[in-house]
Amino acid sequence: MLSGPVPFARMLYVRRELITEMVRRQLRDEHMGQAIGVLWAFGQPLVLMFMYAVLFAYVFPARFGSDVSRVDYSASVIAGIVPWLAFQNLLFHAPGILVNQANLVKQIVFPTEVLPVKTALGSALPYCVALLFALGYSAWHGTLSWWTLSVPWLIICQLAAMIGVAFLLSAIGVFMRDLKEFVQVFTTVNLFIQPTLYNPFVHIKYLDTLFYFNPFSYLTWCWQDALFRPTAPHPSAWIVFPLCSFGVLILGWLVFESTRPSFGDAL
Amino acid sequence: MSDAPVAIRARNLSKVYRIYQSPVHALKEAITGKSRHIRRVALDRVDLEVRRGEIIGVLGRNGAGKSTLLKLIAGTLKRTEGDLDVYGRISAILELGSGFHPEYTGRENIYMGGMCLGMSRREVDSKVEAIIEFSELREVIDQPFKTYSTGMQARLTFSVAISVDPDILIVDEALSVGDARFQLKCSTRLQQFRERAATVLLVSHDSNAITTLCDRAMILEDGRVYAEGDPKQMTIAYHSLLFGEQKAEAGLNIARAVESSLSQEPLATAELPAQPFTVEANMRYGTREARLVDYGILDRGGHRLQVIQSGEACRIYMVLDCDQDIVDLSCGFSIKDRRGTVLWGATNISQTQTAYKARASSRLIIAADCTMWLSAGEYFVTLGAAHLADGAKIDFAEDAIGFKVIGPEGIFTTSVVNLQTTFNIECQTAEVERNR
Repeated sequence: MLSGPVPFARMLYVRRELITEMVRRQLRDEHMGQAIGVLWAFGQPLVLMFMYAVLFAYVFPARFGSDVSRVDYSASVIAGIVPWLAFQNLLFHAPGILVNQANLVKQIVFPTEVLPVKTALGSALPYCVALLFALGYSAWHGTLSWWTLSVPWLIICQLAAMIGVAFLLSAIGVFMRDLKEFVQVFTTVNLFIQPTLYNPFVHIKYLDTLFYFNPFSYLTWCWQDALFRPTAPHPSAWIVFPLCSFGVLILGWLVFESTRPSFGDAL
Repeated sequence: MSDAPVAIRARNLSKVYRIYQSPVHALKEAITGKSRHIRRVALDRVDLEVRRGEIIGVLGRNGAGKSTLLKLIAGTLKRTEGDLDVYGRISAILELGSGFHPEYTGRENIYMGGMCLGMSRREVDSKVEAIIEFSELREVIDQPFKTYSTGMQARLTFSVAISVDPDILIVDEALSVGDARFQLKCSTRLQQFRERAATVLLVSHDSNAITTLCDRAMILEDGRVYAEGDPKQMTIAYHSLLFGEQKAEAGLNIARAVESSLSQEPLATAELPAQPFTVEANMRYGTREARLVDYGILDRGGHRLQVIQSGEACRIYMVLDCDQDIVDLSCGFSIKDRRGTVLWGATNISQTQTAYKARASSRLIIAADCTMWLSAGEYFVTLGAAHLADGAKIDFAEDAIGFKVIGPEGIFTTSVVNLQTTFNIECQTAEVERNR
């Protein structure tokens, strides 16, 4: 198969049924045999959201008495945390996508490329409810604006990035089993080196510099601009984020396609 | 058949695995470019040409490269060298229950399994009834897959895999799991495949499946094609390859002695195959006043046999070295099937009603000439000597010889005996025939 954007798009189309079916399965699989089953998949992010909202609206502002930090920036935290949690959900799964499904990859004539795609979609899907919550929360706080109309575009970019990362990590994970541990450490650290949890009105120089080097910051900024009426928007993020997203998608697909023939050997 | 279009063509197909002692070595090699792996050649310049409508059997012991060959053809492994062309839609049953989730019901798994094998949802929709019908699992189809027995799981897997209607079907050992009736059904289905010019590649240890189903067979040994040709000859060759490994030095000389002493009808003296045939007895016991030193089955030409064509003459023999005088020697053979049922037995007592008097330091060669009227299957010979008076065993070897009967054709594969059948239908009233 040729590699490049066109074969990728065709693959998505040809395999759409299998992908949908597998996404449904993934959500059900994780909660198979549980009493309220798939509700967990959607309920858990909501509980997290609620926790973050309470934490940043009431707990933290009360602790710090200064004028600037009294501003309620919980809507900004929520706007940033939803996409990040969705991404983190994928990062946990991504290195094991092929390794854990070795029987599918090795044993039958199976379109392997479906696995990363369905994992990415399946990781993102539970967070659509959380996103609705975030939208509602922002509306309640009056932080929605014209920027909010860009949400569908952001979703597309984010999915592209997630699928790309899924391709990349799943392929590397086949050859480097330690990748899982790296990624887990990274996800824990990464939450604190992106602007998600920080007060957007307080600028600390060395943190800001750090943010600029973290690609995940651009994702966060875009979502925060869209849901937390930007007093100081990040125009650079609106260029960098889509570029990175589709860049990583193409890169992931190329890496996946070029390493695919060796999957069978390595598993 | 030979002018049918080619379905699979392999030239010089090789596969070398790189074995790393630890993943760190792989990493180091990737970085430094210095080789840190051991090469293991799984397939070594294999040539293969399979045409449409052919069923080809692949035999070979564990590690001979069968699975590697199938995976290369199925496209899940990358070849190291050589050319491989595969024409058509492939479906493969390489492992039971691939893509099947134990928690889901049989029906849900039909959908998932079918879609994993490349069918669309609508295609599965249209075939789901036929699949359930073929698997004979209608009563349990809505129960979780994990509650199925191995045989039932195999049946469902197989049913789904063949419903794909592939141009090339690859079956690895999957047939052997179902019960005999289901196996028969699968065989019938595979033959239908052949009729609509689909190609089947069948890996099996079951010689019966190979001989009855395949048009052609090949034996892989150490990654190379050891032999290729008529399925019946190949299964025989395969069995001598299998059992030829066990080397017992004593066997050969005594087999010569047997040969010369037994010859009322002259046995061929020229070529005794080097591979002795005696297998380690399952259980051996007795007082050992006399010792079994050799035993086996010979064909009419004096060659040791593992595989016997049903209906052929053969000679079961044992060699007994007596250390003491035994005045009431009773000795003989029995044949059991896999379940342990004794199917046949003969001793000097059952034959002549008199015990044999054996002198000390004499060598007795005891033989039973038989015609093998058992049907296809695997059987075991128990043999030994005992005292007639009190029944005390002198030297007994339980299940000492394992052998395989192949053929006869045209009767149920589940048949136990060969009744040397001629079968015909005669129409007596032309009227009845016409009215139908």
